[in-house]
Amino acid sequence: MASSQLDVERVSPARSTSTRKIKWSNWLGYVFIAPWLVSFLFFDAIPIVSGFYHSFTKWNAMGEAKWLGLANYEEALTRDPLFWKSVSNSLYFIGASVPLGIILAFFLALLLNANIRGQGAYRTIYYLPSVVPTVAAVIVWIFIFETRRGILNWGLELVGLPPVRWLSNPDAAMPALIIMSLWGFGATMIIFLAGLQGIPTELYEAAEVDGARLVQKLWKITVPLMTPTIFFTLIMNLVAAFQAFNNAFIMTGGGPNNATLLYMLHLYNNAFSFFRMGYASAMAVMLFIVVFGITVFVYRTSDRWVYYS
Amino acid sequence: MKKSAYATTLSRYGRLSVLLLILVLVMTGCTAVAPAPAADTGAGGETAASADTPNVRFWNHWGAARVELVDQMIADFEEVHPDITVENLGQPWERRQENMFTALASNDPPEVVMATRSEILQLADDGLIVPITSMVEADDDVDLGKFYDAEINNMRWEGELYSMPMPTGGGITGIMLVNVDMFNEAGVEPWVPETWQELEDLAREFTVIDDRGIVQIGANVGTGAGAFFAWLYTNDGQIYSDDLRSVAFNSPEGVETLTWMVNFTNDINGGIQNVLDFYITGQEANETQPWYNDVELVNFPNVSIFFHMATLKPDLDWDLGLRPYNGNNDAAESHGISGEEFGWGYVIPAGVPEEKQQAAYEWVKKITYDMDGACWFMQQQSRPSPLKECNEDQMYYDVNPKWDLVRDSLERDVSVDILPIHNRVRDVVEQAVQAAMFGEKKPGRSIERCCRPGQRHH
Repeated sequence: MASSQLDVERVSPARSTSTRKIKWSNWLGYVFIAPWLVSFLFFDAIPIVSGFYHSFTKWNAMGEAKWLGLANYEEALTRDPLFWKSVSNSLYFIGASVPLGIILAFFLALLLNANIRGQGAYRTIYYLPSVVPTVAAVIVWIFIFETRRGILNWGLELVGLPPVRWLSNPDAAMPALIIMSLWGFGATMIIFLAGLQGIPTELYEAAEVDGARLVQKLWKITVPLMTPTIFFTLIMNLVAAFQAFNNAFIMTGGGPNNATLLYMLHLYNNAFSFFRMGYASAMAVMLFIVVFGITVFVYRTSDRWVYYS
Repeated sequence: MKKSAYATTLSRYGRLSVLLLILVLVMTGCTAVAPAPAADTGAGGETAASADTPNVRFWNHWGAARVELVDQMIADFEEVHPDITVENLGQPWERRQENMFTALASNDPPEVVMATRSEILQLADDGLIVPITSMVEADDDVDLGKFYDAEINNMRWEGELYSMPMPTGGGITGIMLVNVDMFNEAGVEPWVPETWQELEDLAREFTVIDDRGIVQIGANVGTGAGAFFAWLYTNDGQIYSDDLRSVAFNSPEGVETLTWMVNFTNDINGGIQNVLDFYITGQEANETQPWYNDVELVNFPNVSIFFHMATLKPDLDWDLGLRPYNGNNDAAESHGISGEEFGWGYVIPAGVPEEKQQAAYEWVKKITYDMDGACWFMQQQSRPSPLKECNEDQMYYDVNPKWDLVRDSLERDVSVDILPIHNRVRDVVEQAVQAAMFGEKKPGRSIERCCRPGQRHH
């Protein structure tokens, strides 16, 4: 016991020097990341704390905030009919757009990973929609969705289906928004492409030797080894889908008859049309809690389906 | 020993770097939050040359061909006021309110900000803009009696004046245009409907619908809260009670108005989905609008259309009337409403230093009151001015043979008293109108139910 204590005392000067060195090395690191830290502090951390505080107040962003306690939360959960409408709309949108977006991006990444001539050109073409400004894309999509002359209805009629009132029928407006959201699959596709290129070709060669077919290779090798990438894109796309705003704001304004009133659009209306920053902050806090909860849930369940080997 | 020296050197550099960084950040931070001196905010070196020259940053939404007109007014103003410079900060329409309130909330807001009437009331109620009552009273040149009563009263809140108007808050809903070319094409003698019932007859005659929706529309009476409010006043109704203590749009007149709108939309235009589809690619003032393609017989525009018609389709043959009234209601007559949705003013944020407020006021006066400013600007667009005298100018009659009727509509406009929370009440009504239009609720029930939260907002 005594010997052990002595050993500690004997090594302590060396540890002290090492600690000091590490400490100052850290300082230098902090200096390098300081611009990001300052940006995070002023543009993220402080607004987050401020938003949390103001969610308990009546505030219009400029005047004095008046403390309301939980009244904003109570109003949202019990008295604002558009709150629950926007929640159900967002769940509908997320439930359809996230899986469809991932499947489409994964499928296209598989195609673009094939060793074919003009591979680079194809990759560029498929990524292009992701760099088109939202407003321009929305205007194009409005023409695509047009009932009388839209190319989508033209295509439907070619296969013998009746035209759809994409943007004026409350039942069709959300599917239209979901179809449009798939347009921005490029970023997810690039991530999948990178993941696919990380799969050792030896595995496929070995499988071929064993007589595996294309579908078997896909299900037994590609998909399992891509699960970390799928997990990552699932989390990122979920968070992005919860925050979806631009397309609905520009294309439908939440209509017709609130059919595309997404949660973020309702939040925005309260903040900047009715100047109810306190109420909008409460909505933002609730969104944060839900997104955080779902992210934790997905993360906790990931050990059942994500393979890191 | 060497390692120790290295560590010491590192720590010295580390400390120095941290101190340097903190210093830079503090300095940039201070620069960002401190109100910038007038000379530093100017656009050019000329402004920077004189530290005493107040710079008025003019935050506005006069886009497209109007930019040049604003620049011309600025040049004229600076000639008369060499001690003041004005910077034209034209803003995009997209996310207008968000950008405006962000600018107002900053430590260094623009000196003059263009805002709608309802926004002005909201800002005034929160003490975020400066009343100009004392400046107007001290100004011997200004006589507020030169404005239409409805127009100048739109800019008051609790006894204080916060701006002078430009353009008219009225003229938004009072007039109605008919396409004479379409009458001629159909071989029908052109006529202008005066009542709801005549409008129905005319619209029914000209509306063409096929299996894809509307091919040609006789008239669209609107499908939202703005249209409902406009028609309400042509049926002797009103939005709020006279004492502003309760909503009044749920009256029998209100129910009758919404019922008529819904029936018109369903029976004549085949339902709201047809109407939304018909206007989906032509909602803004551009050549894709049905009106400019001879497939819309009756149009309920605001007075800015005279400018747009001159630009987009100068050879269009049109006639003008007042918004039809309910011929079955003896008390009803044609009215437009003023200040319900728009009605623009130019406010001075409370964050503007006192020494700059007078300069800001001088610019507000130029663009709202002066004949060679506000009046000229409206005349260039062939649209009426809130200044009565301005509208008497012969040049209006030269370009618009129906100018007397435009003036008549302005005189008939009702100034709608609204509250700072009007946008929320409007949204509640919007929900009710949409529910009725989409058949979720009967119009009477929809208006009656929407009234409860509307009343609570009060």
